[in-house]
Amino acid sequence: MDAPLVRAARAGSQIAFGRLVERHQQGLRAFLRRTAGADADDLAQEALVTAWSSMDRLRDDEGFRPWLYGIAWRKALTHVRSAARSARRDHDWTQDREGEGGSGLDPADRMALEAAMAGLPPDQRAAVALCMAQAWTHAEAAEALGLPLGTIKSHVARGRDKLLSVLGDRP
Amino acid sequence: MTAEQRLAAFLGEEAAPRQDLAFVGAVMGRVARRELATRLSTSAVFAAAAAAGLWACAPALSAIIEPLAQTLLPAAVLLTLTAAFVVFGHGLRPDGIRR
Repeated sequence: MDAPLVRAARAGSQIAFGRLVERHQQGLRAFLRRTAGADADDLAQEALVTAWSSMDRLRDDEGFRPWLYGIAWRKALTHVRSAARSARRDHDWTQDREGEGGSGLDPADRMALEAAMAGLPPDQRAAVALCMAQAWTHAEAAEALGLPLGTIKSHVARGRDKLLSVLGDRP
Repeated sequence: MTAEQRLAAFLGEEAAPRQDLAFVGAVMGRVARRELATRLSTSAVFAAAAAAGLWACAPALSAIIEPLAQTLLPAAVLLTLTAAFVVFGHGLRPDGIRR
């Protein structure tokens, strides 16, 4: 699906790359907001600019999405490992989500799930964000995050259990 | 709602807008700046290489050009004077007073 645009972008077409940005910005930013928090949009921009200058290194034209997310994930990892930013991230992340009610979720549940999500180890959080929130296959997530397939499966299962555990048995 | 449904609702929330022209524009602006910087640095490298090449060839070029310069000097002087007259002298009246 992305291959013609990828080929055109690799040949230097900024218009084609712009189409790729339009196509993937939502998912990429959602993934980074769930994994990196407040600076997600900056990270997404950095990842996209890096992708533009590294198009020659993309071997599979159809594999643009996992490749792009891989770039973004490596940037996010560097970001989330910074302790100083981490505190701000969790604060801003909570503030950003305050007042959202489109899904009909109880605010107490939302706060509990946000805290639980923030408490997951980075790899686990990323696996949950891709496989559970964005419906990626385990194989795609493994490719993007550079982790073995089995590790992704166990991350998703454990992450899901942790998130469910904070909801308890409340109706 | 069961816990599973609540978790699905939480994870199903849209965490970013479907269309965001401002974001796309910001990315493409950064891409254009990156391209410009790349082209400028490439041009600078080529210019430096050309300058180094000319500097290295300067003795050989001088040996060729200096005898030519001696031969062409009178012609160059004549051409310069003619050009100066054509450019600056056409506005002079016969009595020497500028219009």
